[in-house]
Amino acid sequence: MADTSTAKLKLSLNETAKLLMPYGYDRFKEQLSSVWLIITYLILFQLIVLRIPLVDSLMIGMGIGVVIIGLMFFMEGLILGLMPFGETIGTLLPQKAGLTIILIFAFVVGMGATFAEPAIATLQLAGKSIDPNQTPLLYDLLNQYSWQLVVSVGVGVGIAVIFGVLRFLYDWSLKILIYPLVIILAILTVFAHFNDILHPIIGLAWDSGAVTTGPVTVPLVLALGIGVCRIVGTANSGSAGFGIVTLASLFPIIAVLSLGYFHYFTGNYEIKSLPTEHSVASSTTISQKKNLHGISKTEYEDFIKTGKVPEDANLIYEGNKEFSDGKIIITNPKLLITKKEAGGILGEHVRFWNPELSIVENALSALIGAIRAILPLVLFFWLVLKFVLKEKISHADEIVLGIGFALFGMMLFMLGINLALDPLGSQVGTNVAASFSSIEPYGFKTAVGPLFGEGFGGELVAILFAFVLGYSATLAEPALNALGSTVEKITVGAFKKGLLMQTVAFGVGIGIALGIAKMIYNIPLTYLLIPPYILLIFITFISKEDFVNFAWDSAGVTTGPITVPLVLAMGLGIGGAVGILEGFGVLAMASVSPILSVLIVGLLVGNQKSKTIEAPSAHLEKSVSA
Amino acid sequence: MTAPQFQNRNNYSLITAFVYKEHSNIVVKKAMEAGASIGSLTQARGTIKRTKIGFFPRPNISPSRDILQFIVNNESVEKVFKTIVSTAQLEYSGAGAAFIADIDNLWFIGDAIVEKQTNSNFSKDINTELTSELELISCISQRGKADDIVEAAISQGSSGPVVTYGYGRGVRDKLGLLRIAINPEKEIVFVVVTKYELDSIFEAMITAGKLDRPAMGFIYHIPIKQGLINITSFESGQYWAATREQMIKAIDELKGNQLWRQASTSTNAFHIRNRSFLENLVNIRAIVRRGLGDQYILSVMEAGASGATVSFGNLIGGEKVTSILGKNIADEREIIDIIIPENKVSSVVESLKKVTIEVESKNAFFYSLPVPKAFTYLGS
Repeated sequence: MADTSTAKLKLSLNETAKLLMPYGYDRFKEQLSSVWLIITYLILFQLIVLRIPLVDSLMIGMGIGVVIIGLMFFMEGLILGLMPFGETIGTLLPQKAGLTIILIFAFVVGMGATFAEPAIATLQLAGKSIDPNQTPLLYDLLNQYSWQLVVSVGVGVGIAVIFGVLRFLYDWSLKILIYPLVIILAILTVFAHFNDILHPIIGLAWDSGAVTTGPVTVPLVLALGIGVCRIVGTANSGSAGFGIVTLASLFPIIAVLSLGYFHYFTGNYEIKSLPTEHSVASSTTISQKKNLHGISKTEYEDFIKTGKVPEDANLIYEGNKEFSDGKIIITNPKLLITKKEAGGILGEHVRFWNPELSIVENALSALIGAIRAILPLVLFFWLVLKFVLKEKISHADEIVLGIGFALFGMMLFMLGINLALDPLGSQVGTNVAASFSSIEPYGFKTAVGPLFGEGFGGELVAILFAFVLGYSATLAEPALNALGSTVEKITVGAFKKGLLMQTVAFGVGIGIALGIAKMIYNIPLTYLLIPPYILLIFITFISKEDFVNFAWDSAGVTTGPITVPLVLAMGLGIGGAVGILEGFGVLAMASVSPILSVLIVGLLVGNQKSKTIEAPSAHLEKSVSA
Repeated sequence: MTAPQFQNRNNYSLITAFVYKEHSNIVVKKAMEAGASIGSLTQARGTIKRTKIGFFPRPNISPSRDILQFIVNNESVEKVFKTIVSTAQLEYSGAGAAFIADIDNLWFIGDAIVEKQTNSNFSKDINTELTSELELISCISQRGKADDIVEAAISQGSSGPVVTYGYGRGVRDKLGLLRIAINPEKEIVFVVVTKYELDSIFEAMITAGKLDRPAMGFIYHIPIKQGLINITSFESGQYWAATREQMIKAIDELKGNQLWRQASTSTNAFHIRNRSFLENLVNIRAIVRRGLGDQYILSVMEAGASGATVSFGNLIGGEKVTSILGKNIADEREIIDIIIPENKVSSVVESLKKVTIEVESKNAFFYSLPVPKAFTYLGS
């Protein structure tokens, strides 16, 4: 111990640089390869398919660089600091602490993680234009009772972590926890489906399950579980630390649905009386659909008063035209004033930087967000380590550096999202509706579309766009990256990270495409959620325990900081074009389908495995008991 | 208080078994009953190479495996071996492998290793004949590179290689915080081959792993006394009545030996370079409590070792520790592999002993195995 410092090698500046350069370069390359697909895809789609110029391009370009560097530091911080820290605590808990302390710890971690990475802002954004008259309970939950919503999600996650840890300690199968949970969820959802007041909160509840688990929570909770399992796990339990994320996605749904039921039965919601104009407009979905090609009522009134034709209007003169004596003479004239068609966009000025966005302010809020997401949990872990477990941690220098990396990385990452992914996602997401409907493109004042016809063709383009968006955004998610590495490490390479990520990304793509189809065709969420979950129960039953663990956990990690803003922007854009008021449900769809895709791939690989094992386990058990 | 004394034995053998994860609990239980003294369990993966069906290439499958290593007194070795083979049903094609190596020297402190009397009257005979003249090739490569090496070994006709994860230690730990820039993660490939195939497979693995370039890895082999190798490594797109391994075995039996394998593999136009191998080395393997590995490694490096490879596993046998819930708590171990020339053995062993006494480790043990041949980049 003592002679570590004497044995230390001294490196020259040159040698240090030689060591650090490839280290940094490798990490940069790794993140570049995870992000390039979604970014090039979004830009090319906007430029080539929609043929709309990119707004704020300079800002987006800079932001992309910031995102990559941020992800680089963040992932390294996870691997170096946060995950080993969580794993160490996980190994020490069952050795040094009693059951009560373990369970209290689990609950606090769950609650704390929810408050550290609050998803409430996301949910409020998804429901920002809902009509309180039509959906009073949903409106109240998102506004008046929003703190209750956060607390119930927090309690849900807390209980989930408790069950997750108990499962490790007593070696329960994840399956036996999944069945009752899904059945309860199905009953609550179906019941709510047939109730006018409760119906709108289904989407909110399922989405809150999807968004709770963020990029700090997932790796930390995974590492914690792995630590616990290293100590108490049996050789063939197969769980090996997974499953908490699953439960942390399912319990909050129950919690939010229960909160909704509670307010419904106590009558704690009010139908607000708003101006009738608003309620008429929203009572039929069609009337919301704006006809951007038309001249608005106010413009008409202006025209009557001042005689001024709107700036972006075309004048078409009909009648019998004659040319005589250097004059055009129209007899029986009819003047038609219409709005200019698309194409006017070319003449518009395209801005390179959003003037309302201040880098300093954004950097500051990103820093606060990063500190809030990481420090309280780390501090709590450290206090538990120091005062409850009374242990020292080995390689403390590495862990402190890792936490520093994670903080710095997360700050840059969030700043980059604000600079690049958010504006890019919102404009492409808004503009994609132009494929089947006429809209006002992001940052412009003219109308575009429908580019591919009002009917099925245009809608198909939007749905296909959603699929590729889901697929490529998922590949860039840091939490999924961390899960993939963990799965590969735990199975000693038997289940490769690449395969898991591809499968999950494919599943998310399908889910988001279905979610968008749901919005376009106004399909109730229940119809899209309940059948897959029933199918899931069946496939879960016939699958191997370890695949069940990976598959269900991957559902929880898919919806992270990259996917959520992109999907919401697209959901709101398409929702606006078809006249749907809320963007809920798409994320829930993005959660269910990766479970299916991973389980199906698991079955494919699993079947081929059993073909080569000729010695049946059942036979073995018999010889043991004999 | 008197310091616990170290004991030295040379009448022990090492039985290694590659079994399916689902079987390892029961194999461990039966082997310990049959007289194994102590052991370790490490997680690993196998590889099954698949040919394409029509035009569709199929990815290789990597089933989960466990590597079980038992230290067994020479008197009980046959019984334990037969118990492992019959419990894990290793006679079945594709079920796994088990093999015995002679331990040169075994050192332990206090009563870490107890001479056990067999208390099971399990005496089922094995139908299959055992193979002698085997060699265990171990290849340490950078993380992510093992699949190429495995593929090369399979293509040269080896039965299924088993891969586990390890961590390289050495110069890295002397760099202070800068160490984070060097990735310590390694993959270790184990493959059992006959003496006749050894050279060609060794060469194939060196080429595939680019081990003749700096910092790519290390490869060595250890003689195996006896073994039963039944790992499937190949899955054809078509259905045959017998697997490739079964056919090879049938030819072995027809010919009465495995000499023919040498002839068949060397017909591959393989450019064997003039390599300078390291010869007559010793593999010292120390099994110490997880968390203490750093101290051991620093100490052996001072004693002249150039580095070490660590993998993690759980101890089999030894004192049982239970948690508050009354469940057994895993006794996590670091398995430290050190390859050194013969003349450094005594100083390295002394340094291991010194640390063991310093940290008051109650049940550390280490043993040495002969390494006839090894290869790595030696500088130009």
